[in-house]
Amino acid sequence: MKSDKGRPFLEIFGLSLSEDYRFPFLEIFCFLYAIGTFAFVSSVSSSVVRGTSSGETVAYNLASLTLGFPLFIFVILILKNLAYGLGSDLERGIFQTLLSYPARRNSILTAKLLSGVGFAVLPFVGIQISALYILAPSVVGPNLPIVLLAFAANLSEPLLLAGIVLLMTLVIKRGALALVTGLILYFGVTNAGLLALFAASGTTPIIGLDILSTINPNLAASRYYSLYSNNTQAGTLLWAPSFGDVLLFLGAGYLIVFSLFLINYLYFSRRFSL
Amino acid sequence: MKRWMTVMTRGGSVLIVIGLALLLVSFISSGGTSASQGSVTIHDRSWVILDSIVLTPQTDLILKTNADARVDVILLQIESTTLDNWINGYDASGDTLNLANLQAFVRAEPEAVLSNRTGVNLLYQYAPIKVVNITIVASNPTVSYVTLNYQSSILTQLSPVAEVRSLAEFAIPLGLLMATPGIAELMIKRKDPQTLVHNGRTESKSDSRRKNDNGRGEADR
Repeated sequence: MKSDKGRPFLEIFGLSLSEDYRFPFLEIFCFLYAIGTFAFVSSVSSSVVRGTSSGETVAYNLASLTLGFPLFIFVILILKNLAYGLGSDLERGIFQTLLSYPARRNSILTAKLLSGVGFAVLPFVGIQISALYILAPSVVGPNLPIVLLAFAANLSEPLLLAGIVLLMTLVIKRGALALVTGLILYFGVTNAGLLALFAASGTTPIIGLDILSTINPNLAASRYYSLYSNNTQAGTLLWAPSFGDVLLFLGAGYLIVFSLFLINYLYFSRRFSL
Repeated sequence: MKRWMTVMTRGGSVLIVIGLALLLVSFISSGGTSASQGSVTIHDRSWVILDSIVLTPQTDLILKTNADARVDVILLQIESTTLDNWINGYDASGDTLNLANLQAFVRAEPEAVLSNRTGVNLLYQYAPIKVVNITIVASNPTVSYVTLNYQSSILTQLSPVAEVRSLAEFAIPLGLLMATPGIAELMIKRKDPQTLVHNGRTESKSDSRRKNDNGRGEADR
C-alpha cells in the first residue's frame, strides 16, 4: 500500500504557499527585487569597481550594494508571511483547521516556515545573483564564494528577526503587533550597526561591537573588507576583525538563528494552545 | 485549475514581471552624464593623452573631436600610466611624445588598441561589455601643428543595456507562453462559471453531470 504520510504536510504547504503568495504578491516582490538591484547599484558600481581593490573586495562590496533595498523588501515579505499571515490565521481560526490535519505539530510549523521563509529566499537570491552576474560577470564569476558569504552575512539578521517575530506571533497571537515590533527591531539593529561602525573609526573603545556582529555578521564582514581594501594596518585600530573572525561571527549568528527556531518548534509542539 | 498549471501560470507571470522590470531598467538612464572637453595643440609628429577613464558595462562613452587638420584618435584599453611606463622603458632619450614611440607601442601591443581612426571630424560611441580602463590618445602625423577640440561624455545607464534588453526579450515571451494556458482557463471560467475544462476541451457542467449520470447508470446496469 502506498504511504500517505507526507500528504497532509504537502496539503498544508500548498495551502500556505497559495495564501502567502496570492496573486499578485509574488509578482510585485519579484519586480521590486529586479528593479531595486539595478537602481541602487548603478550610481556607485563604477566607483566600487575602479581603483586598486582586489577582486574579493569588489565582489563583496558589489553584493552588499545590491542587497540594500531588496533586502528590505525581503524583510517586509517574510514579516508579512510570518506575522501578518500566521497571525491572521490564528485570529480567524484557520490554524484550528490546520491542527486537525493528521500531521504532527512540527510538520505544520515546518510547512508554514518553508512557505513563509524558505520559498521567499529562492526568488530573492536567484534574482540578486543573476543581476550581479549581469552587472559584473568578470567580478562575480571567479568570486562566487565571496558573493555567497555576503548573502549569508546579510541574511542572518532578517532570519533572526523572523525567528523573534514568529515566537511573538505564536505567544501573543496578534500578527499586527508582531509585524510592527519586527520592523522596529530591523531598523534598530541596522542603525545600531551603522552607528557602531562609525564609532569604530574613532579612538574611543567600542563596547558591544562583537555582540552586534554576532546578531549582524555583515558588520564584521564589511569592516574586514573596508580595511582589507585600504590596506590598513590592523594593529593601529581598535576593532579590526580578521577573516577567521568574520566566519566565527557568521557561525555564531546562524547558531543563534538555529536556536531561536528550535525554541519556536519546542514552544509550538509543547506549549502552544489556541 | 490543476496544480502544475497553477505553478506554470505563476512561473510565467513572475517571468513576465521580471522581464518588464529589466526592460524598464534598460530604458532608464540614471542621468549621470559626465563630460570633459578641451582644446589641445599637438606638435608635428607627436601625440598627447586626451583623457583616461574607467568604463563599466553600464556606461557608454561618446567622444567628439574636431581638428583643423587630419589627426589619428586611438582608444586604448589600458591605463595611461601603463602607456607612459612602456614608452619610458622603450625610449630613454626623453622625447617620449614622439609619434614613433606611440607607433612602436601600437605595433608591440595590438590587443590594447580598441579603435584607431583618422580624420578631421570624428565621432566615437563605445559601450563596453566589461570593466575597462580607457585611455584616449590623439596623434598628429602631419609636419605642422594641429589644434584639436574634443568632448568626451560618459552616459551612465542603470544597467548594461544590451544584456538586460536581450534577457527581457527572452523572459517576456517565455513567460507569456507559460502563463497563457492558465489565463485562458481562468477567463473561460470567469465567462461561464458553469464551464469546466478537461484536457483542453471545454464542456458545460450540465454536460459533465449528464455524462457522470450515464456512467453511473451503465455501471448500475
